[in-house]
Amino acid sequence: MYWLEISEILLREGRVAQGIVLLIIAILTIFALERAKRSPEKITVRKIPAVDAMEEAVGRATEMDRPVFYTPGMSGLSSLATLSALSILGYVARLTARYNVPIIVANRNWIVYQVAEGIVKQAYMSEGKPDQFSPEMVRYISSWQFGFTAGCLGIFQRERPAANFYMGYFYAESLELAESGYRIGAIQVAGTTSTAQLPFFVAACDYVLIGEELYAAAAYVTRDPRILGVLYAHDLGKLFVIAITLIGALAITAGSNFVIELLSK
Amino acid sequence: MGISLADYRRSIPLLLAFIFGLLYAFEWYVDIRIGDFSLSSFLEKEMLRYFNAMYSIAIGIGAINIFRIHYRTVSRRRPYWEFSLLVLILIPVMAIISTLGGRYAIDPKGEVIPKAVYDFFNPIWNVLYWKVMSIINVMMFALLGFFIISAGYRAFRARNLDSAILLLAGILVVMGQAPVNAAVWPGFETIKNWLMDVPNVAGRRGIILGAAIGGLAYGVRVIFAYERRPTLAGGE
Repeated sequence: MYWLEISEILLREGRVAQGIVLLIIAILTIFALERAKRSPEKITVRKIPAVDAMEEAVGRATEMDRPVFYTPGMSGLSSLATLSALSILGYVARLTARYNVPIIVANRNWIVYQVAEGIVKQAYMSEGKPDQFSPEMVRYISSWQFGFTAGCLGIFQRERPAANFYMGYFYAESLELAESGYRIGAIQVAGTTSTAQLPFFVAACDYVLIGEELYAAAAYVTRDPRILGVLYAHDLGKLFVIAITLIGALAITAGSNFVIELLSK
Repeated sequence: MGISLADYRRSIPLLLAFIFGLLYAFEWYVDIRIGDFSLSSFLEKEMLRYFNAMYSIAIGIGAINIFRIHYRTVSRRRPYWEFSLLVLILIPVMAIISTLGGRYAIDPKGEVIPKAVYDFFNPIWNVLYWKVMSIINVMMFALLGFFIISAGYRAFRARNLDSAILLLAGILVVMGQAPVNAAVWPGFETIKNWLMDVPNVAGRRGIILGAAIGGLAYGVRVIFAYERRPTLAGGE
């Protein structure tokens, strides 16, 4: 009783509906993953051309005897886009290890740099080639936005990568990177959730993962049917949000604000 | 069958991701106070201290990486090694000048280190920071203008129906944005506003909504250990 007297547990105003939506989507995700675990044959996934192009790009770099360039974006580990980019890095690093082609991973964030190094090292070990991993593959460039950009452009000019991967969250430097990559003739695959930078990547890159595809790709590259179940969860979540949007649109048309009021609670 | 070190290395990051992932998500929605203890301030203040400590160590490791790479470039006389030599010289020089005379100088009031040291290094820091580094930064940003022109030239070529529509929309937006064109025919501005406010916003919201749901599902995957790569707990 004493504990109850001195404690307060309060739901934060304005976030209740948001929390319920989060809970529903989290339950749908776990349900989808468990369903995929039990019966993986029931999960069919549409092709994501940008993901299929990754192996092609690494293969091209092998043929040209030039390195592969990868950057996990500008944000830190608190960004889901960065985490997703690091998941994809694991896949790309395994490909470079398999094909014996060097990879250069350029980082802007101190902590992301260390995680990236661990992921690349692990990928080389998984491919049975730990001796081929070199700490020089994963580089910390600069925390300054344009210092980082200048460092990457320098790598493009000096080391002439044949395949460039830009995954994660980007700002104004996106076009400078992608255009410079285009000029050195690299095959380029980008992926970002930043809607302001997507048009730049679409204009200058060969393949682009648009918005949610970045997260979907992280699951897709595992080729593990159990993890692929998460794509089913994406679709369930989208259906749920579309349903709320439609109900809200119909309610507003009929002169009722109940959906807005409900979601504002 | 004992538990090996490798098992701990896998399970501890996953456990931490699970605990703190749930805790931070929970705190966003629920405010918990027990006596003087507040979950929000614990996460915001106490955990921030741990983060700052980790960040400081990470800066050191990042700096070692820079030195290692550029030292090897110089010692092996790789192409453009001269630039690497400049990096090796200028990083410690700038670090010393910033420490003694920068904005966050170690002792600007001269309580321990003589004030003359700060007075000597501060003007040098001002020149190097504001007249060199900032200018180079602005120059890199300004380059963007040229890149936009070259990328725009390629993007706005009517090779098929989609790119023809893009070209037409681009021309209309440019016409509406330039004051001179709006003076010729005010309709350009109306069309531009419609293009920017209706199809553009609709497309952007669709992408943002999809990305938010995708991000949420990805977060659930990391917290519940379905996705293990960013925690370095295997999953390859």
